[in-house]
Formats: sequence, structure tokens, C-alpha cells
Amino acid sequence: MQMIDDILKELTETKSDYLSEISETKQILQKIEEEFRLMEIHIPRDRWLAIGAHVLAFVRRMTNGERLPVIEAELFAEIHPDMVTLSHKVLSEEKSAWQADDTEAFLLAVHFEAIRAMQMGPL
Amino acid sequence: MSKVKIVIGDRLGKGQNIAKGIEAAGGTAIVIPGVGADMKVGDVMVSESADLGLSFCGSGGAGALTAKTKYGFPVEYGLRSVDAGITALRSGKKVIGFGFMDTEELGRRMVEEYIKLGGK
Repeated sequence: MQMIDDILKELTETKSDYLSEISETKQILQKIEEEFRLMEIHIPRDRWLAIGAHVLAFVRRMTNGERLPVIEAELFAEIHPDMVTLSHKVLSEEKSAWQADDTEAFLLAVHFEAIRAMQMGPL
Repeated sequence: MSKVKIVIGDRLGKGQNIAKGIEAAGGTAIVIPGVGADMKVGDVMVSESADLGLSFCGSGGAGALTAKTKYGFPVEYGLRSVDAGITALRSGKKVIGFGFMDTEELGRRMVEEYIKLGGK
């Protein structure tokens, strides 16, 4: 929990225009922390920082109704399916109006895959 | 005179169009292959002794922040336009993060500006 607060503080020091997205971002980061704790996978600080920046930008996209381009389906084969499922899980349920599509789930899942592969080996 | 060398790391392993723009402007482009390439920008910049790194994902933040944390590179991210990238370059940033933007114009103009600034 302290790690999440530290990360958000660091990110908003350099990007003060992200302040309005802090609350939603924190909720998603807390879900990620809980899921990885259950999987007994440690998230190093540098990865937290990258994930924090990503989730802040995600929240901003959702707030602005911005959609990213659809990505090629074959790219999903490069990361563990559990990481995609996990990504969908933590990005859903926040706000019913948000549409966290497959592209958003994939982009966050790449972060998860990097951490998973670092500690458990490649696919 | 050596060429300006730029590393490209895109979350989806893309960046080939930027590379074309870089080469067309007289620079050397290194496109990191594979998914998650953005997170390796700093590592490849160091191993290749590159001048600049460009990171692409939703905001470009992951690659830029990872490079900053590991190697202390000055970074800017969350950019959405070529002009914003040029501004970051002028202010001395070495790793610049964008939203997805695989265009020749970006590569070409980054090289042109780098040369103009006297970097090469």
C-alpha cells in the first residue's frame, strides 16, 4: 500500500495534470497488488512505476472516451493467457461506463507478463 | 561524423515506419523486436551507445520511466505529437515516450532536430 502511494506521488510530481485521475488509478493499483500477492509474485519498484504510469494514462483515456486502435490477435500468443485474464479482471468493474477493451487489457497484460516471466521464466 | 543513433521500443514491437524516417534523414534506427519492446529501450540504448530512445505504448511512460530508473536518462512521456517530441528534444530529454505513433515524419524530424541542435 505504501508502495502505491509512493509511486503515485512520484508520478504526479512530474505530471501534475494527472492529479484528477489519482483516485481511480489507486483503486486499480490496489487490485493489482492484491492479485499478485495471491499469486505470490513480487512486483519490483521499477515495475510498479511503469504500471502506475500506464494505469494513470488508462484512466485518462477512459475519462476522455478515447479508444486505442485494435491490435492483431496473434500478438496475444506472446503472453501468458492468465495475464490477459488478470488484466481484464483488474480493469473491469471500476466504472460501468468504461469500456476496457481487448487492446487495453493486452497493453496492461504485457506489464504483468514481464513481471511473471522475470520470476517464473518465459512461456 | 557519426550518424545519430535512435532506439525505438514499441509495446507491440512496431516502429518500422519511424525507422524509415530516421534512415531517410541520415540517422541509424534500431527497432527492438517483440511485444514489450518499450520496456527495453534503456537497456538497448546503453548496449548500443545510442543517442536517443523513443518509447511507444498508451503513453510511452513505461519505457521512459524504466530507462530513467535504471540508467538516469532524462525523460519525457505522455506526448501525442511530433512537435511535442521536438520540444522535449530541445529541452535535453534522451528518452521520449509517445502514444502509439508509427510515422516516418516522427523519425525524420527527430533526426533533423537532433542534428540542428548540434548533437551530431
